[in-house]
Amino acid sequence: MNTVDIKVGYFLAYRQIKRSSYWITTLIVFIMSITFLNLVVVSGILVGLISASSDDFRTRYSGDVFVEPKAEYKYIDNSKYIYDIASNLPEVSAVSMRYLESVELEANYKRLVTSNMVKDTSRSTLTGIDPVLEDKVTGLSNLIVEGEYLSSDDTNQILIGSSLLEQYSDAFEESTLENIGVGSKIRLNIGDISQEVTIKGIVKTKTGEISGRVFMEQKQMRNITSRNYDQSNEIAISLKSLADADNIKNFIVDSQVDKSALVQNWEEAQGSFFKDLASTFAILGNVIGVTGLGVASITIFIVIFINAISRKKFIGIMKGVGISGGAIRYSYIFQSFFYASIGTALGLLILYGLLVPYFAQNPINFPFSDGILAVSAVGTIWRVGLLVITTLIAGFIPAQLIIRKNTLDSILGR
Amino acid sequence: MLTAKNIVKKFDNGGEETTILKGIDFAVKTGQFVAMVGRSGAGKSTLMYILSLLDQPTEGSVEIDGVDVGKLSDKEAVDFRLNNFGFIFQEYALLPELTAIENVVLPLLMRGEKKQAAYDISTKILGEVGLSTKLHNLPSQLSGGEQQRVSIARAVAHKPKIIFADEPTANLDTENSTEIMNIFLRLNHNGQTIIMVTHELEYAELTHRIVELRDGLIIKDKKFSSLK
Repeated sequence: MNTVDIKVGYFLAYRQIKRSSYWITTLIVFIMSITFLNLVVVSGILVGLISASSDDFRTRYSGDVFVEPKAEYKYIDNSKYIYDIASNLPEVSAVSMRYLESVELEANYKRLVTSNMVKDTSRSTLTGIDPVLEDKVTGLSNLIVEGEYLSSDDTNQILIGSSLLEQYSDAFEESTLENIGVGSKIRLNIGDISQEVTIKGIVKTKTGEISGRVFMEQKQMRNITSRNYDQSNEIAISLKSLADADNIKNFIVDSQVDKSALVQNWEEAQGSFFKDLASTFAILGNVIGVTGLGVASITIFIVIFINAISRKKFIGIMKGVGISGGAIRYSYIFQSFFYASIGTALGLLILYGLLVPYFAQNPINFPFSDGILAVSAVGTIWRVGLLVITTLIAGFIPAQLIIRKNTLDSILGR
Repeated sequence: MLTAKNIVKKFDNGGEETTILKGIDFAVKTGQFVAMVGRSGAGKSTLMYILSLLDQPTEGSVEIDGVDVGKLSDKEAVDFRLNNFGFIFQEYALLPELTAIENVVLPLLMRGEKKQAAYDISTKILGEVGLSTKLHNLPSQLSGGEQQRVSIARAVAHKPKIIFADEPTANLDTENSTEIMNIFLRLNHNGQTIIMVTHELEYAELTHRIVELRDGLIIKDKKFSSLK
């Protein structure tokens, strides 16, 4: 690397940029900014869509560590033992045991006058909870959109998920209950048992595991279903910030509780669906981004090529008076670097100054999550590097093509 | 100082070979001011391009101070031009995005001159050609004569062994042409070797020597004992 070439290259590049058309420079910088945003934002939204959904799953449903029965078991047999172990760990902030039972919800049964009328029913999962502990783990009370949250001494009162109600569901959803709201009475049919309850509140969230359930205070639920306290179906454990879910999971597993219990961290609890979807969306985002990168590199190539072609005579003169090809090459590389760095700087400003805060305040309303713009520092740096390198190559090639031409031919315009 | 032996230059003209130079022997001594004249197509510019390493002869050799320049690589040729030659072109050939002083500074920087020293030298030289008030003007803000004076300043700033001037007065009016020739004469008076291609005989007659080409051959080599 010749330092004189670099110095002369910089000398030329600085003056060419400084004295070139303001509008052309602005246009190129704008193209670079748009390309950078295309690289980051498209994949960021696609990944953000999944990561928001995944985060909701953790914060609204599974907690950081999630315990459920192994496939061959109906219940977590030693629920209380697990609850006690988890509750006593200093890293754990709250533990909620849930009791589940398949249930048929029947509404509007008082209007039935003839036996051939269709019943207004829907199937769901009746979930027995300790309202206080559940709220600590998942903030369930924050999801109440109508009515009130459960209290520990409530009887015959339930919370119902919004997707079970016609007014909150899509027009084409068939298995929803009609004209049911806070204060309405419905029947819970569990096998041969039927229990009339009053709807105390409506829970609305985009996490399907919550919005499709009905919630009842666990003591009454266990009474109705003749369930032992020690036979829960789900244990959601939330951790204090900075605590490591895998450490807690391993500690619980090592406590000899896993005969019937499947202990998982929150990612494992989600199964491969979210992970696969996130990978697919990331690939999709990258494909779109790389396409944009290709377009940008071709744009820079054309801009530099036209610039170099229109300056062919002057490049010839420079070589004629003794300016080395290396210095001329560096001048184009510096120009490309200028366009790429200013373009990405502007893109970063737009990204972190405008788009990220905007999407944080105004998430995109997708059916299964509120999409945010997920951009990581590492991912952003990687994309900045990719764009700059691509631009440098796109600037170098056309400059090289012109510089290699015969000096005299260039001077004489042949 | 400069010796050209049996220079032949042929061009492939759409499948038909055209011989522009037909075996030229030519030598220039240090401090000479040589004018090459001839009609259009006589081969004078082609000869100058070969002597100045901007082009290669089909046959023959050029030696400068004992160096067979035909054996230099492209990169070595660029370095050789930078260190030994100054160029003045008919259409000035200034870089449009550089100011007058920056055009002169550029080859000096390429020679490894410190930036401040390069600017000091360029300021002095531009002052000598009467442009001390227009150092920071872009070429588009200068007249043709002023641009040619910048071009001369750029050619001489690094004290080259030989200045090659290709029709330096062709685009200028009489007043500016006379001014340019006066600068050349001053430079030559100080020992500068100059090889100038021109079709204007009145300026050629101001030099030490007139070499006339016709159809690729030197038909007349007229030497004067001193400048007129």
